[in-house]
Amino acid sequence: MQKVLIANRGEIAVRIARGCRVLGMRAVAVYSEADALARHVRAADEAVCVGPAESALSYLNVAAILAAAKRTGADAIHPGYGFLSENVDFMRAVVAAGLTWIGPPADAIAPIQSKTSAKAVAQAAGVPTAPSAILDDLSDAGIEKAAAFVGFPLLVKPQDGGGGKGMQRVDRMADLRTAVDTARRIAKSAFGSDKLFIERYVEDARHVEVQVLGDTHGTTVHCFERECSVQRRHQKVIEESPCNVLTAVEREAICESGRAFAAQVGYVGAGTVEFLFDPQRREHYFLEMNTRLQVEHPVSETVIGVDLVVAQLRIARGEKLQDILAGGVTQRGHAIEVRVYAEDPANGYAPQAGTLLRVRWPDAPFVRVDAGFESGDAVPMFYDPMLAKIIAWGRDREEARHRLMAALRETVVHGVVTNVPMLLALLAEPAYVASEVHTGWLDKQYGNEAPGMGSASGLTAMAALAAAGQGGPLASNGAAHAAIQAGPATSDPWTALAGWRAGGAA
Amino acid sequence: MKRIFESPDNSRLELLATPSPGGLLLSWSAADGMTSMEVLARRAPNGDWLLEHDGITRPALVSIDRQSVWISSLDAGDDLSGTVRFRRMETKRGTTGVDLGVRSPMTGRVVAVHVQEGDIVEKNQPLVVVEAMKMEHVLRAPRAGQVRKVACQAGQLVEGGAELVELLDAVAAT
Repeated sequence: MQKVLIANRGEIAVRIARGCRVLGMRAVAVYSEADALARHVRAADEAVCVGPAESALSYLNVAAILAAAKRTGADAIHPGYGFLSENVDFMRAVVAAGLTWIGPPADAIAPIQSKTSAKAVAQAAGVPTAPSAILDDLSDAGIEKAAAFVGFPLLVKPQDGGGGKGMQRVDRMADLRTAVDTARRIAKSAFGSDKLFIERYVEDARHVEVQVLGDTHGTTVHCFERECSVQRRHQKVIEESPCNVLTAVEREAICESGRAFAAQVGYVGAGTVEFLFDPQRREHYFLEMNTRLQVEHPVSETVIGVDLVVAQLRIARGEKLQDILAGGVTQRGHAIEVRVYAEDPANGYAPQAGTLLRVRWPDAPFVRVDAGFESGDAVPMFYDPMLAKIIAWGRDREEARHRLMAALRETVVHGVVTNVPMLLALLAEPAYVASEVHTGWLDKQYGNEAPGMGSASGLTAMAALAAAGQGGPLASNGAAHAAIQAGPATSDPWTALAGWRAGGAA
Repeated sequence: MKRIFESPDNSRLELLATPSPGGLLLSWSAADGMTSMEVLARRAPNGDWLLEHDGITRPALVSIDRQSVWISSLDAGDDLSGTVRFRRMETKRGTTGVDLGVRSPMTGRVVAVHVQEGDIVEKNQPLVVVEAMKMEHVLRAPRAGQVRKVACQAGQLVEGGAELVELLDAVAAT
C-alpha cells in the first residue's frame, strides 16, 4: 500500500490523509464540483473530481471513484464514515478492481446488516440482547407468562408492522390485556396480520458503544467504550470516554460483549458495537454494529493513545494487532468531544450554508480539533453541515469538561450560524455535569428551542460595530493597521460599509 | 453618520459614530435607552480589533458580509459573549417607517408563501416556509407591521440571507 484514495469529504477526509502521511503513504482526495476548493482537497497529495454537487452523482458514484483510483494509481480505498462506507456492493467492487479495501470484508458484515440477523449473531456470540417474546399464546396466562419473562416496562409491537403503528408501551401487568387487544385490532387493520411480540423497553437508556479492532490473523480486541447519550433525534451531539456510570465489572462485561460480537463475525479493521445500558437494571443490550470508523473515534484515540486510522491502515496491509498495539490498550483520563455544526438551534436547527468569513479554531493544551473548514471556505448546502469536532482531554471528566468549554469560548466562526452557544450551554447543564443523561434527555431538554446566539448591546459590541466601518479604507496597508487610530484620519468610519445594501440578494 | 442595525434579539439599534480627538465618539440607542462613549479602535496586523475605552483594551474579531456584521470577543465583559450577528437595516427614501427585511436563514427552496403585499401581520405570524436538507423552516414576522413587498414565490430556490419579505414597521404602517 503506497497510495490511498479517500472516498469522502470534510473533516474525516482531512483526518485520514493525516493518518496516511504518518505511514509515508500518499493520499488521494475525491471531490464534487461544489467542493473543488475544499479543505479536504487541499489536504491531499492529489485529487480527482468525481461528479456534480449532488452526493448521488459524486461521493456515491462507484464507477467514478474507481476510475479516480485507477487514474492516480491508488492501491487502496478508505471510505471514511457515511457515503459508501457500509455499502457491501462497493466493497466487493473495490476488491474486484484489485484494490485493498480499508475496512471489514464484505462477507463478514453481510450477515449483520439487518437488525434481526444481527440480533441472532449476538445471541450466538453470547452477547445480551433486549428480552423479547412472540405472543403466540393469547390467553391471559399466555401473555402474562411472556410479559413476566420480558419484564416491565415493555413494548407491544405488531410483528409485521413498522413505523411505530400499533406499538404500545405497557408499564404493569394490569394494563397488558387491554394493550394487547388494542394492538391486535390496529395491527389487523393496518397490516392484515394481528401477530404481536413484546420487547423490553429500556427507560432512561444510555448509549454505550465499544470500539473494536480485528486483524487478518484472527485476533479481535476491544479498545474500551464511549458514551454517546447526548443525542438530538438520534444524532449524537456530545461523546465521551470512558462512560463514567459503569463500574469496573460492568465496563469489562460490556467491552467483552463488543469484542465477542466482532469475533463472532470474523471482523477485520476498526468497528463499533453499540449497546443500550439500562441504568436501573445495570444491564446492557446489543443494538447494532457500525462497520466503519466512527465520527467520535477521537475520544477513544485520546484516552487510549492509539491512532485508529493508522491502525486501520496497518491492519489492511496485513500487520498483526500484537505489533500495532504493542504493550496493550489501557484507558487514561477522560475525553469529551462536541460536534460543531453549521446550524441554527434557535431556529429549529435549520442547516446553514454560506461562506465562512472568518474561522478561528481553538489551540490549547490537551485540546484537539478535527476540522474540515478554514477561513474563507464555502459550506455547501448539499452535505452534512458538520464543520469540525473539538475534543478535550483531562485527568478526570471535570478537567476535560472545563477545557472543552474554554476551547469553545475561544472558537470563532463568522459567516454561518453555529451550534457553539448550544454546546456551551449543554456542557454546563447540571444534568450533564452530574452525568444523569439518557438518549431522550436532550430532546426533552431543548426540543426545538435551544440557546442561539446571544444578544449584545453594550460597549464592546458597539465599538466593534463602529470599528468594522473602518476596515475598508485601511485594508490595503497591513503595516498601517497597527499604528492607525480611529479618529481624524478617517472622516467617515462607515466608508467601508457604503457598498452595502439591505437584503443584498434582492 | 448614523447606521441602523437589527440586534440578534430582533430589537432595533441605532448607532452613531463620529471622529473625536480621543478616537471615535459612539452613541447608540437600543431597547435600554441612549448611551454615549468614546473608544479608540486599533487594528492588529492579523485583522483583529483592539478596542480601548477608559484605558482598558478589549480584543474583538469582526467580519462583514452583505447583510451582517459578525462580532466575537473572548472577553465576555458586560455585554458580548461569544459570537453575535447584527443585521443591517436601512431607512429607505420616501417612507417614514423602518424596513424589516425577513431573510432566508439558509440556502433552500421556498415551499409556501403565506402573505401578500399590503397584508397587515402580527408579530410571529408565519410569512414564508423554506425547506433545506429535508427540513422545513417557518419564517415569522419579527414584529407587527405591513407587508411592503414579497420577493419570492413558492418553488423558488433562495440563497441564505436573501430577503424574502419586506415589512414596514407597525408605527409607520398605521
